Amino acid sequence: MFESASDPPGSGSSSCLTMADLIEVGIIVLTEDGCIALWNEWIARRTGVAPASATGRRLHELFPGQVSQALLVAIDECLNHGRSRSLSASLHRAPLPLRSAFGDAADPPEHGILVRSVKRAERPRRCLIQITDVSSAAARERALREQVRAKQAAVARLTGLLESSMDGILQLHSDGTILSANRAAERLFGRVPGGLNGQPLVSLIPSLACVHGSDMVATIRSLIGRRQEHLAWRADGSVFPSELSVSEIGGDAVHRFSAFVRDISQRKMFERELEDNNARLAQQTHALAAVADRLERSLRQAEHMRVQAETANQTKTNFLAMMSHELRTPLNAILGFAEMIENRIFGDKDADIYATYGQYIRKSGAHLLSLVNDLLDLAKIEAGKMTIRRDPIDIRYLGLACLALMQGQAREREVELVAMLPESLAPLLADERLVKQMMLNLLSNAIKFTLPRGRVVLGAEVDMHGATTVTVHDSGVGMNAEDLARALEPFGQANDLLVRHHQGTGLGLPLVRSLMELHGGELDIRTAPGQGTTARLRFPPNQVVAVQRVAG
Amino acid sequence: MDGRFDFSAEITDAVVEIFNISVNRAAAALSALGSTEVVLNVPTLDVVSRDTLPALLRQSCDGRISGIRQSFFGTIEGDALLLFPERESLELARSLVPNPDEIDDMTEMEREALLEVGNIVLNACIGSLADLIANEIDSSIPFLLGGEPEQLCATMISRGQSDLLLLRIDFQIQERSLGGYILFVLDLKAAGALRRAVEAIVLSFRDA
Repeated sequence: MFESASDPPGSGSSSCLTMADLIEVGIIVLTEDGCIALWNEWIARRTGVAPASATGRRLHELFPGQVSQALLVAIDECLNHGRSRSLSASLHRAPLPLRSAFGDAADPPEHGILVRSVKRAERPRRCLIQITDVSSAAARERALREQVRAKQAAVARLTGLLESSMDGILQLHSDGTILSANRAAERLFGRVPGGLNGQPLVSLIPSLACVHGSDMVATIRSLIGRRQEHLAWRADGSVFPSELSVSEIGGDAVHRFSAFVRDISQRKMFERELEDNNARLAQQTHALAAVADRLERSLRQAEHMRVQAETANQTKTNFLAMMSHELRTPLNAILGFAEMIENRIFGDKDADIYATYGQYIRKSGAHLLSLVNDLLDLAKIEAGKMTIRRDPIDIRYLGLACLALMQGQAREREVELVAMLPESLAPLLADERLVKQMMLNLLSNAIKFTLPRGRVVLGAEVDMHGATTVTVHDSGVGMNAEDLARALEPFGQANDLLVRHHQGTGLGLPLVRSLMELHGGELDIRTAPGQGTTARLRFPPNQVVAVQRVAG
Repeated sequence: MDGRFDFSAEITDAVVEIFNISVNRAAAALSALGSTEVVLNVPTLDVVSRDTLPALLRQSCDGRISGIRQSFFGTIEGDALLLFPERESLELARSLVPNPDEIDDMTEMEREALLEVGNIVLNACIGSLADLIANEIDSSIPFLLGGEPEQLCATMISRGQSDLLLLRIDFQIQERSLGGYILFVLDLKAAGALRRAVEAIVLSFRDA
């Protein structure tokens, strides 16, 4: 080819030239004296010098002052000493004034040049210059460098971000092995830089082994997207509470995960303090509530006591007023009739009248006595000075005796007395005088409140539990609930006209109730207006003595 | 000639001296190009067998080797090689090419630059040799090569050669503490031609 190229252009060997024109590199062949023997289409295009104009001339003549010294030296060395040379685009800028492929002058093209010594047999040495446009390769490399620089900067930024994070960040293999860790993670677990790499996550957080056993993939997956609290172990064996969350790193076919670990000891401490404070607060609130409750109870008690005291005071005032009235009435009668007898106001003619007056005086005195007795008894009971005897009492006998005592009063009021006392009653253990007093009181009341032709029944029985009940039933006027409540208070019925009329002491029922309480029993009154009244003395079961023992 | 390398101490010294001069010229060329100082050690001349060459290369450059090879033709024919550990060849290329970004592989432009550096060094050596023996030696264009020492030796040395003359010149590029060496691989015929040429020089010096 080169031999042909040395022939004059158009001398019939143009096929070689045509072939050189097809090559997308610049081809220049110089003869031994440096004259251009071949100038292909590529180089013609890039220099703007047609092959016909170039052939036979020297390069420095074609481009005076525009051929680089390095290229001229290389050509000289090649033609004179047979050295081949390579001139790289990196080290040589524009060895020849070549245009870019796109005619763009702003971005000068870059070319690699090979200067090759060609010697065949005894023929003179020639120089083959091969010029390759490496602009696009160079541009690609610059772009690649730019990309690499940008990526390195991004990596540096991310690395900085990871390293400056306060949280420990671990990159995990799907088998739970730590691939890398940031400095915060190493500090958290007390490791030297790089000391966590290759360690299984379970060695730092042993409780993870309990999640899915040895199936680390499942364990790690179960942590994705939720925060969990676990105890974590430092290198020195100390333990701290940690919060762990995991996310999957996408992209590769290999599953990788990143784990975020945070030391939450301080938060836990705050939570505990908060809980303690709450508990203390709750205790204090409770204590305060208790104090408030006590205060309220005390207040209620005080109020109750005040009301009681007021009531008691009122009762006492009423009592004194009634007392003076009750005592004065019989005394007035006594004094009045005694004065009439003393002055013999009816003379001596009707001596019987004085006997009647004397009877009045005696009755008033007796009433006064019973009043004073009841008062004394009540006072004694209230003072706690009353003691009771426990004697076996034959209720039937005692009841009949009481009925006999009340016979006179009953006849006066035309009230029939009926005894319903079984013969086989077991003896009652009680104070005989007091039981008799209670029976008389109840019978007296019954007779007093029973209208003529009415009747009063005295009954007694021992129930299956051995409790003795004494009943006084009358067919009298009866009472409503209000009257009954008043009747049970000392002088409660003092204002009652009926009572006045019947000259009750007003102390009977309260006294009976107090005496029953002394015996451990109770007074029960069933009554309704117009329905009569039934008063029951219920003695507790232990008050009964076995029949046969008494009999024995 | 007995078919084996037969270099007297005197001839060996002369060869070493000749190459020393060549290499110094190369160093000057290289320093001018890279604006960095290149220090070349005194060459050593050894005869080695083809089979021991890989092991010898490994002593200096463990791992893969990069290099530039230029063949030369004329009175003496053989191969000239400039060899570096691969890593260092990259460093050298980076020292020549502006914009030294860390890209793991050598880029095309870096390869070209490295090729030219090797070309300059080897041409200087070949040129000195040619000057010395006052004979024409043409050099081929340079090629880059790389690989494990065994692969390298298999591709660059033909099977027929059993013994090789190994001219070794260690060099360092200051500032970068890079090192490598230059090998001239001559076969028996070439070695004989070299010896005769050197003997002629030595004789001419004696006569003078």
